[in-house]
Amino acid sequence: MRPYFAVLYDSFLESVKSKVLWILLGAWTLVLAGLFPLSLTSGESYKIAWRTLSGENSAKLIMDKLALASAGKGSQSDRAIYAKLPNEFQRLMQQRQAGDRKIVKGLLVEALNKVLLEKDLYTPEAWPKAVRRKEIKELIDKEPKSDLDIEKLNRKLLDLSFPGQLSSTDGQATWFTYLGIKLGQPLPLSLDSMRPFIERGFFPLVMRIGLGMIAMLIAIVITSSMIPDMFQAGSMHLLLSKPISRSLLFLTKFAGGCIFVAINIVYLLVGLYFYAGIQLRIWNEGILWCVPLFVFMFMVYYAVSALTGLIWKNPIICVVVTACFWGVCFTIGLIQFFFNITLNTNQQSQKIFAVYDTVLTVNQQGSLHYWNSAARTWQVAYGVGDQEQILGPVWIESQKSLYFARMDKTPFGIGPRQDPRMSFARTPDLADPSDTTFTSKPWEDSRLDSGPEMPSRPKQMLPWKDSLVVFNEEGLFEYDANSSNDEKQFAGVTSVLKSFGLGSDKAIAGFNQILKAEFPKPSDIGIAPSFQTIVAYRKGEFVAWKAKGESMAETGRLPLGFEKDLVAVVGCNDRFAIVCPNGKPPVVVDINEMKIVRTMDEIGPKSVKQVLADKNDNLAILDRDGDVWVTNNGETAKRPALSGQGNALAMCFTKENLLWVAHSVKNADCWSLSEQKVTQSIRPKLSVLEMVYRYVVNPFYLANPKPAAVNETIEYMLQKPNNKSSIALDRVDLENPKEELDPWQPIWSNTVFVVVMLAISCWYLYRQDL
Amino acid sequence: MARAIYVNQLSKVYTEGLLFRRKHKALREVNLEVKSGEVFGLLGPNGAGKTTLIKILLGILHPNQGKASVLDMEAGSKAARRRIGYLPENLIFPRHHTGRSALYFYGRLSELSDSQIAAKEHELFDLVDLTGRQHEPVRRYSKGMRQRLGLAQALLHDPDLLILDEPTDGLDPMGRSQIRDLLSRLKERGKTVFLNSHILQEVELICDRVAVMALGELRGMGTIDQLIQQNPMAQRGTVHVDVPSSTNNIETILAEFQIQAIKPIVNNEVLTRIEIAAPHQADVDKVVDILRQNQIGIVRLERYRPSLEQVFMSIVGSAPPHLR
Repeated sequence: MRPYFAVLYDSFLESVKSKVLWILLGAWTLVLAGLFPLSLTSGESYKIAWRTLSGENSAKLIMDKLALASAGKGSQSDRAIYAKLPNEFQRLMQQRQAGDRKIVKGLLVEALNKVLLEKDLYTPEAWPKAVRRKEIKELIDKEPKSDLDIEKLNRKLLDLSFPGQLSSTDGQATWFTYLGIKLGQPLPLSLDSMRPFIERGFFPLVMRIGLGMIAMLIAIVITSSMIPDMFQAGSMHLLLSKPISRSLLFLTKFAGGCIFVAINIVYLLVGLYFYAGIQLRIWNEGILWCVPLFVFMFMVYYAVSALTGLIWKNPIICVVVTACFWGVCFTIGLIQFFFNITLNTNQQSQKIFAVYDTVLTVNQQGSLHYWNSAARTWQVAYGVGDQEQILGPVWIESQKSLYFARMDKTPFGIGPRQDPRMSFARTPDLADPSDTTFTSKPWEDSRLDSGPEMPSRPKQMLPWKDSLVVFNEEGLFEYDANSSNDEKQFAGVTSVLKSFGLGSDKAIAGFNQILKAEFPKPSDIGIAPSFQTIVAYRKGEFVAWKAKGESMAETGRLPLGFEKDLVAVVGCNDRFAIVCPNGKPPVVVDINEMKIVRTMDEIGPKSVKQVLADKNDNLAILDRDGDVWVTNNGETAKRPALSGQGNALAMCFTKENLLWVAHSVKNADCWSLSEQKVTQSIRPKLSVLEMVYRYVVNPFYLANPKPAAVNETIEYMLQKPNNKSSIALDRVDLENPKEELDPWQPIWSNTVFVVVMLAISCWYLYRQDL
Repeated sequence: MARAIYVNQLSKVYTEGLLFRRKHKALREVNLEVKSGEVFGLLGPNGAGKTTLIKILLGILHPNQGKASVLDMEAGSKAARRRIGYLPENLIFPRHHTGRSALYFYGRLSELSDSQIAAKEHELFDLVDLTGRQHEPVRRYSKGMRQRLGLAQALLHDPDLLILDEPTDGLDPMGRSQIRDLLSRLKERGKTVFLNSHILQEVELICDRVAVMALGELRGMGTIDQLIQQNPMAQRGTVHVDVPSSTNNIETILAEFQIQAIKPIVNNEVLTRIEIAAPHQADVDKVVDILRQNQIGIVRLERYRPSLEQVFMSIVGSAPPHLR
């Protein structure tokens, strides 16, 4: 092997002695030096940012109140706030009151932030009920002196004055800093909450664009001459006269090129590793694992460049051919991506519901579909635009109405939301198979009944006795279908006021709050099929309510010992609840005794999407890997080997205790858990586009090399080994499709490609007269 | 004596062009044998197929037909290459090397350990007159220095057969002389040298045997004397006799001999050269007798022997057998 080590060593020597290596290392040093002062700092901030205004019309509503206050009208608190506004903004408010002048949102944010700094904003007359809130009372009692305490108190007062318009804050904030200078507005997250975003957002972006594209292009250009240079007539004949194999000589030279690139990547990534560790306090070993992965990605491109170099012996042609190869791969990947998004990701079922014989799904795009068995297709019942989501639907049998609401999708719960309105689909009568009113066309807006404004920032809409409930950050609200339409128009405001304990019990219009206990911002709630038990999870704590007469009464709380930031999904029957913290094994809780019965190690650490209970004490758990687990009263969970298992997307129990499982994009099967068999299957026929995708685009894509897909493996490696579950700051985040299937698949497929390319190169070299 | 190189009916056809394939015969059924320990010269004009033959011997090219063996091993086999030292034409060393690092690099490629290379490097740098310059980057070397370094690497692993393609190319007269001395010493040590060169005088001085190639064919092979003797001019037994230009009636006086030419000698107006066919010594004696009997002074008399260049030109210039 001595000759081959000599070639390898020679390649290394060539790299070390070339100016290019030192220029590149110098460039990476500059990049790292430029990046090093960029850091994160956490702190407390109660400032109002654009995103603090929770709804589309929030700024308008606040300004309307302030304008009213400028005329001495409105509530005392509004007038108190107006009094502390900067003079210029006060004038603007007066003008608005006089002539409905439009004012930009930024001015309001600026003015309110100035109010936050006012020392004597609080007066008992203006906020008489503020002291009822423990947190505010404490602040008032200790007479805030520091700027931060003043800011905090004033912000709480503003929140009270403008409920529904300002998102509440716990004061946690993180800033990006450069050389210690804070950049822009703070992000409303703690440093710990930011880390997953950096690890899965910032790092992959740097890797994908910085290394995966720019550095890769540089590497290809620089190494393009290595193989052609070796096969120059004057040097090649001497090499080939030595007792070495041509193939091994080529492979060794190829390895030499990879070593050159590896030196650069090691330097850059070790630098990034220390940067992340020292400046961002993220010691992510995944960055170091990216070294072999990037070298591997380079090998894929270099295999093309090397073969080109052997054939044409011209570095420029090597670069051009490699760029063309990249372009072809990219184009095929792009076509596949758009087909996949359009036909798979957006179309895949997110929720499934059964109303008698009619099966309804909500797909990822937010469209409501029902199964048209005659046409063997999912027919659009109600189609919404992109980035919208549907709450519900819920079928209220007594009214023969299907209820749902539509609202903006806000990933990770960040950003303003338009407060949704409920929609009714009073017809068709889904119980009546002969009613074909809506089978011919979608349920257009004009054919839907408009409902009341819903509680602020609703998360889920669930069946509740003979009605439905809406669950939001403030609690659980029952829909009162019998209240008058006039009352419904103000229901949202009323409900939120009531959730703070400020509204009158009689002032319920549209929604009644059914959970009396203070339990803000629950991650998820579960309702037993009997409607006698409700459970909820919030920041590591489990709480249960039982029916007591007409109302629900809290029966106890149980700290579960999870990290506070962890999102969890819960489900229950009347005896047991299953709590599924994101990325950890689910736990079974005995509701009556309020204790953890056991950890479901048979399921293992998973991201769970849904937990449902039937009336036979079965609890079904659907994880984001597409597996459905069934347990009876929390006993050892089993994974039924039925059609759709492993690809499940959503599930629901029918009244007959059958389990509908939506799976594999648009398929669905009805499982009988008692008989362990499928009783009904839904297999929609393929459209022309779907056939093109399945039989043309996808096979072509699978056969095509995918060097850029190594980025997915890199992103996987950047997630810490104990943190492979999905990012979830909100319950709704767990409903997003899981894209990560097999992070190692790109490695296998590209390894095959590299081996084939190198084999062709060796064969060519062996056969070729040089 | 064992065979160092054996070539039998060797043919090589190059195919060029991607769409319109054109074939070019570089070697046409070449037969050649080089004995161990001899210095063998391969002569031929550009495009004669000399380098193609060498590349086949080294396994760089694959023949279309025929066989070639080196040191009784298949030409191009690893075992054969292990025992060959090769100096290619227009040698280029990687730019990042110094003379010394290049020597080590090629030594390692020849499966030598660093200690083995170290043991020989000084001797070799002395031999090729590069001592003191071995630490300089090769990119600063002149063509002659590169050639000498190439020779050093070819000798490094003490090969049994040296294949040198234009070894004195780019060397000054002193350098050429050194190479000649070196080759003589190698011959004394029993090494076989296969030399490919344009420079006929050099070949004449060094080589035991030569072969002449043209248009892919082997046109002649043997010792230089044998090649000359085989030349038609030598075979005719021409005798050159220089006589005073005042002499008349030469044709009449030497009527019984075949006079090939009577011509004045360039730059000498007083002498005339008579070229007479006299293959035997008796004929020469008779010519002398007749001239003396006719009172004609003989200024100079010599039997004509063609030079290697004339033989080469004669061989190369003649039409190839397949066109005759």
